[in-house]
Amino acid sequence: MAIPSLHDITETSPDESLMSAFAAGNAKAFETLYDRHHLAVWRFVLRSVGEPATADDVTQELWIAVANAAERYQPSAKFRTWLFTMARNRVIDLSRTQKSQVSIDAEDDDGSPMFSELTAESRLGPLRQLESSEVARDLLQAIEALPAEQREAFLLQAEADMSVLDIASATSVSFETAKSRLRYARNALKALLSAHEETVTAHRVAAHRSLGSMTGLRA
Amino acid sequence: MSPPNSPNLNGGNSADPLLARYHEAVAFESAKPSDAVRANVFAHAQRIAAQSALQRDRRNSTAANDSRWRFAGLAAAFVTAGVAGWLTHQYFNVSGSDAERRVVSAPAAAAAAAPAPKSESSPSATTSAAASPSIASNEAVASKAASADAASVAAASEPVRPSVPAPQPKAKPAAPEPTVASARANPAAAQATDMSRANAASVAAETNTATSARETAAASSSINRDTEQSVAVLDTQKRALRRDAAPPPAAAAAAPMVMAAPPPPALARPPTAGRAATTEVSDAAADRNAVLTVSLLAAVQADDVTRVNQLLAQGANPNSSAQSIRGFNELQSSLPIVAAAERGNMEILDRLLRAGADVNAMDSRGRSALSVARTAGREALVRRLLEAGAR
Repeated sequence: MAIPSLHDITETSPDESLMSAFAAGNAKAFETLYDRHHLAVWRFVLRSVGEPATADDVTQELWIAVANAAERYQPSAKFRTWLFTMARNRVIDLSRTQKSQVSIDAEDDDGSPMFSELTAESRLGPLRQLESSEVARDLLQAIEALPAEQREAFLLQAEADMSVLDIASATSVSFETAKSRLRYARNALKALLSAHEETVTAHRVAAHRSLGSMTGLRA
Repeated sequence: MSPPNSPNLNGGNSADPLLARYHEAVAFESAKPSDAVRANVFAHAQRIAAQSALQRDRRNSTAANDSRWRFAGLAAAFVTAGVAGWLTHQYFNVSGSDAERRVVSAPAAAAAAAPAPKSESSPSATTSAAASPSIASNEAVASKAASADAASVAAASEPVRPSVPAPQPKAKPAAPEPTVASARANPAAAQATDMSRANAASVAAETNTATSARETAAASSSINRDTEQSVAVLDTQKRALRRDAAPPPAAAAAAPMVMAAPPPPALARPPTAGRAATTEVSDAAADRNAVLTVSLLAAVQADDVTRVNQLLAQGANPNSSAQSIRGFNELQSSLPIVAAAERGNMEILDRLLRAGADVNAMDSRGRSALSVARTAGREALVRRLLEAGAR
């Protein structure tokens, strides 16, 4: 395989070419790769470990491992699939170390999201007060509350753009298992969104009624 | 219960409303990866890229740049130059013989054209044959050619000198030497004769053999007195001499190399010895540092505070990495401070920080002490590292 030169590397170059260019000594190719994928990987890790600082540590280790493995990298699979598989392995290592988190490989009991487990902490910042951001916050919290393997399947689809086949390969499970996990996750999230929207609608109606009664009182 | 919707089997796509909602949600998210991660990763990538580029350059460098091939090329150039010089020398020698033959034939022709002296006899058959070209009949020439070796040896017993008239009996008029006569008759021919002597002398000098020189000079003298046939005999002798005296081609080829190679200067040895001594000293220092590094890591892994203090006092570098030291792969971490964080030993961590350990240093796996302490849930260590400036 011909090694791409510095001039062959552009922002639109395929991931595999960028890795080959980096393995040949082109540091700019690695920076392009990093800028292309680091947010998605970081979000995937963040949703899995729950702490931004831990996600930073894990992603830093991940990218350094990617750089170290560049010389041995064989573009037999999509780079993105390979990258997220490595990220998943690191998350599993971390969960085994901490032992406080629910193991990703552990089977879920019923597969339904536990709304009581939704964390009160939000990372939505100043936009949390906005209505649209409330939906976003609740969706993200619902994702974090999903059983680990369902969350993993959903995130691999949402962040890594993986097909069910890719997810099955990355998580070392059968196609049917991966498909089942993904289906449960998606249904849970949709149910959550529907419930949330119903609640918001009910609140709106109540607020309007309250506002109307206050207006009527004033009148 | 059958799920209402089947998952998208072709991966995420923008038409999927759930994924669209998800991407809208993450756009609102304020949390972002740390800039320090980016800086650390890029710094590491720069190092890896530099190493890869260096290795690629080494792989792609041409063989001519390799020191072995440089030396071989230099040696080949010397050998070629030597062979060329030897061939040139041979060529000019052969050409000299040809010129000699032409030059020698000139006085012979001149002598043949000149009137023959009217002498009746000469002291010897040999001198009589050489004395007068007119007497150089075919028979005499044939006998001269047949006895060329004997004549050469006989002539070689005399020192090289210009031809002088042989002592003649009083009753008989002295017969002038044909060379002298021809020299008188034709000065150019005499000059050519001298040149032929010089050529013969140069051949003798090449052989570095006094006997050969005398024989060659004597043969040259006889050439001056003989006909062209005798010149052929001389040439045969000279070739034989050259063949005997000339070095074999390999030796001739090697000779320029030996000559071209400058003798080793007398002052070259002390600096070489100095460099070797310096290298030995630096090797010893490197070995000592490696031992201290591994010992320090082992002491940290064993929570041996006393030993850590002892090694730091001996000069162990708390920032030294053991990742490049062979045979110590069993050490879980390649940096003492990361190992201390892994072990959760606050006392050793404190001691390493006081000894100048880099609080943000990363091991070969990209782990810092802070990340390890945080992952292991060691709050006290995290606080201490943050106080020390960890980020």
